[in-house]
Amino acid sequence: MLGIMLQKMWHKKWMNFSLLLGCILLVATAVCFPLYQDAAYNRMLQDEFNHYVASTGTWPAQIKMTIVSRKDKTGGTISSMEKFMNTIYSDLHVTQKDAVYYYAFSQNGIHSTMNRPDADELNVNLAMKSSLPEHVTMLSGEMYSERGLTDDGEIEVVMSQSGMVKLGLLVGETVVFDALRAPDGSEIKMHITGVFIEDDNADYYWQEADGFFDTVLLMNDNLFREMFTGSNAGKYTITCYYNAMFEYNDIFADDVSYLKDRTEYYSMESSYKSVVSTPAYMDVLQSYENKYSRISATLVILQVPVLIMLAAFLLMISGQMYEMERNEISVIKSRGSSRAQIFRMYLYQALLLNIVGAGVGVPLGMLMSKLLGSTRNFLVFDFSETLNVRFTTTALIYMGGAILLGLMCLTIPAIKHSRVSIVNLKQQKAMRKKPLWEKLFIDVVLIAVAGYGFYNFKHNSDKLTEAVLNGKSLDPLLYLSSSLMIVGAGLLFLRLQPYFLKLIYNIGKRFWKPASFVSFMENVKNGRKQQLIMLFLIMTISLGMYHATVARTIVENAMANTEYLDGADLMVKEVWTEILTREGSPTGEYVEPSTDKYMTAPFSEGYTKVYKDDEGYISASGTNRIKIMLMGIHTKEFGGMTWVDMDLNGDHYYNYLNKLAGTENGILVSANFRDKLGYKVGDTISYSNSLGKSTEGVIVDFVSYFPGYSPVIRKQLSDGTLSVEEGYLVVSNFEYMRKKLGNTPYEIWMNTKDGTTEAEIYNWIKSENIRLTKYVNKSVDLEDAESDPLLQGTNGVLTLGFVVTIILCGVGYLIYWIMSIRERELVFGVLRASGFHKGELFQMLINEQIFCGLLSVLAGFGIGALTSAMFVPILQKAYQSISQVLPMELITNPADIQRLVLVVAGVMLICIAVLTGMILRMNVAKALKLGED
Amino acid sequence: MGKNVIEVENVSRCFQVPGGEFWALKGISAAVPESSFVILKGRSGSGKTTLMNIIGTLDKPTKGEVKIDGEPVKNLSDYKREELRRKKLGFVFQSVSLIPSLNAFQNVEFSMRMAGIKPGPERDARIEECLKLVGLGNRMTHMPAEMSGGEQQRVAIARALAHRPKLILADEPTAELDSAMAARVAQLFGEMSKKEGITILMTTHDVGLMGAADYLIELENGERIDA
Repeated sequence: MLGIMLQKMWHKKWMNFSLLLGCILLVATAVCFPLYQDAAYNRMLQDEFNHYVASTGTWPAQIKMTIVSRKDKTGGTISSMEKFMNTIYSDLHVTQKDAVYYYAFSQNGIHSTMNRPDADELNVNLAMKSSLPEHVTMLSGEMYSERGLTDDGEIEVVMSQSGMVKLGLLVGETVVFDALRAPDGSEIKMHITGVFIEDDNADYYWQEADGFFDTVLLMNDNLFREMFTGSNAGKYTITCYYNAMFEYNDIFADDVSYLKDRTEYYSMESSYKSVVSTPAYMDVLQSYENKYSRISATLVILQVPVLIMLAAFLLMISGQMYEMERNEISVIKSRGSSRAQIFRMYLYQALLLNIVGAGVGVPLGMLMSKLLGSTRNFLVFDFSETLNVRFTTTALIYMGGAILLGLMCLTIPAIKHSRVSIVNLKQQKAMRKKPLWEKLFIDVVLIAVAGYGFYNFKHNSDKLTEAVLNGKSLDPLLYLSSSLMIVGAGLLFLRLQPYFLKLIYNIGKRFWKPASFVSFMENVKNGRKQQLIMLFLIMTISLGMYHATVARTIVENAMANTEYLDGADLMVKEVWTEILTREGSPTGEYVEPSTDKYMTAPFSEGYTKVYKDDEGYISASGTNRIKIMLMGIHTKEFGGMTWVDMDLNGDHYYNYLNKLAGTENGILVSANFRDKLGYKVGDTISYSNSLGKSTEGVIVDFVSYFPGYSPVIRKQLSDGTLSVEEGYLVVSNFEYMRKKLGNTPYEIWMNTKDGTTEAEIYNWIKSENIRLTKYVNKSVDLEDAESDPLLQGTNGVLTLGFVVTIILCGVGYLIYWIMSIRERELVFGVLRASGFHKGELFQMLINEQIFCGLLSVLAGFGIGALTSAMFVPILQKAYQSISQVLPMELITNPADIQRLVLVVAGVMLICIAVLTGMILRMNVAKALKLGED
Repeated sequence: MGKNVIEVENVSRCFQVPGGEFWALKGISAAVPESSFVILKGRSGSGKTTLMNIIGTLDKPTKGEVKIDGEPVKNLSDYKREELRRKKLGFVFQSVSLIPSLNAFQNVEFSMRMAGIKPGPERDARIEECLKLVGLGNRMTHMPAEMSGGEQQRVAIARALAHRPKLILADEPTAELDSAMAARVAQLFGEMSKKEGITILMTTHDVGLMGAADYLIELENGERIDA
């Protein structure tokens, strides 16, 4: 049986190659998702750690502990702590970075052996810090020796530079403790061998506050332990600091929960709970887990359609294989092979294919996930930043699942076919029946379900936003609805397509040239065979288009929103000094800092002064105070730096600014002044700033949107629900506001030159000694918006899904057509013998490609556009941030569609080229002979 | 006796095979006059099919010349050969050679489309006539899969003759038929050659059919052995 199998596989090598390709892709894709997810989570985790380091300047991955080992106790604490320090790394499963021990006596009086009376007043701490020699530079003298003792038996010690200044001790001097005695009761003599300064490298060894070592003399750590701990520990009171630092680079996403649980155990339950306080990395891990829970389910949901398509692909190909092998199976069966034998034969074949598939698929999957990690936008890669991919157990499980699925796809048809004997086969061939889905109206059912989902989500979109802001992941039903919509509409198209073709055929029934005639008839009679590949094509195109729109819309709306809320390129607000009265009470007036520096800054392209007060208010008649955002602007400068799209406000942005400029006491107010409060143009309003000073202004126009202004203010309440408030805005002329409300601290809005880095700005601010209370850098915010892990992950998975579907679709399409031509070799032979020209054969192929391929592609685009229009606005809600204020705009990038068209057109052209080559090379006589045996 | 429809002059055909050359035909000459029914006879491997393919312009001789309806085909372009096939030739093959997606009527109609015969009542009438001629007047809308092997072969014959070709080449058309049916087909060919004025060249090794033919050409090992 094994021999027959191998022979059979060789005989059908193309078929088996396709199946192998399917198996490889199945494993690669299945493995790629968890690998990518794992790598993405790892990156997210590292980002969290790096962010912590950047913002605090401290090392997050450390556990600091302090104990005091008291005199007259057994001294067991120190040895127990040392034991703990020795096991903590292996226990937490982390890589040791530095285990820092610092043991110190409290201050004790000393006297110098050099008879210096001034030294007699001094109190010092004798201490040791582990691995000190590696973290200091000696300013003078030497580090203490390995032995730690001089030849005379004096303890060698070193002191810090500040200690030297503070204590006034000299290198080479020997000091003796007045009261503190060695364990044997002898005097403790300390010989100062050198002065050190702390090495300023970023290994976080030095975490002590300034001046910590001012009175400290440090000795050899081993000698300290030998002399004062162990059996002697009971004789001294020693303060011990421990810092177990570990590498956070080696912490992976799947270590997080263990690390968290274990650390919690240390600080809550273990016998060390009193000394272990919650370490800094717990916050980092918590913040990571919050993000993780938000994106993990979403990423899983997004990959489901791709995996389903993969299985469908295998089913399709293996279905084709059995279709071609039906004769053989029935013959084998008629000759007495049992069903089990036939099944076993196919099982072995499937096993072989799947195992080879896994062997190639796993490395390919790793490669693919690396590629994914470089995704910046849909189908946009940036290879400067690659992902560290490693093989995980989850990936192994996925691989197993993929192999199982592959086995099932390749053997289930065998069970079905092994029932068929040659007699049934002949009977079956004579019958043609409608597929099940058509009889059951599955297409209509799917569209109805999707429509219901659409309706439901549309009317509950606020709940959706709330859920997502609460850290819940995307509702699977939402994404499912859009997928069902695509499948349903695709099936509906397949139901209608034959009628459409029949109609066209009937229009020119008698006049079709032989080539068109044959292709029409072929499609009318055998079109059903093509339905799976057509559905594939439709799904590839429409999912591709839908995904591209989802990715673009989400990213670009988030970016546009950030751009709008930030305003100009750079917004800063300096700390102003308030002028005080002689008695020291505030006057409400300030010293205005010079703003010339903003003009001369090397990256400046001009600046403007903006009053921006978030806590202003108006007292409208009959209402309580209403909070407003109050702005005072130089209209011309402000207009040159900011922008609001015309369709947001209805009129050109500059027209509003010009109206404001034209009236000295004019104000632009938000549209809700008109819609909610009933004001109209020309009305006078009294408004106040947060200091309570008020003035009046005349409304010159209403705006719905204005740079930095949120029409709705969403807040997440403590119970998790979302509160939505109206935001009110009053914009006045800068000079009028200064005159009426006084010169209060204003913001500087600045345009920066292209390519200005954050470091340049930061260094400039540092060099100018500017103290800021507000610093907003639009390019940084935009980068943050774009690199949001949820967006990144979504883009990655969607891009991967698309790449996989396009490969499957291309391969599937090609295989389908090669099979289809192989099957029809005899017919082509007859056609050629009857004098079919090559051009006509070509024409026939083109026709078939149009009926099957082009129509599906067009349907795919239509369905993709429809699904995007329906579901992207809802889906976008699930991704939007709490600060999203701009109306959502559906963004389809023509470049994405072009790429899609290009890829599909490429696949179809390759297909036509291969098929043409096949047909032209076909030997007519041989093709006809083929039918003879 | 009119002119010759087939003129084969000293035709040889050599195939490259592993280990050298194989001469399937060795200097065959033959002439077949108009509206005659000729049987090409010989054991398998005798070169029958090779000769048929060369006469049918599906293959080219290594040496020698073939004239169809007086026209030498040696130097014709592929396109011209295809035109020749669709206008002047009709084929009947050993096994099922109908287009499976077309019914009996459409299969016959197809060869007329190929020959460029204008659609209309005349064409439809001719199709019916041909199908009736082969005894399938009542099965015109049946699909190939719904017919027996003999019925399918008869549709193929109707198809081969519908566009009134000069010559029908039938390669072992009776191989899969029972003897009664085979005799009917041979008889049909004999009748048609007279009635329609079509020359028919048929290969077979069924000795029982020889009587129906006007002439016999017998091949053995690539050489003509009849008188």
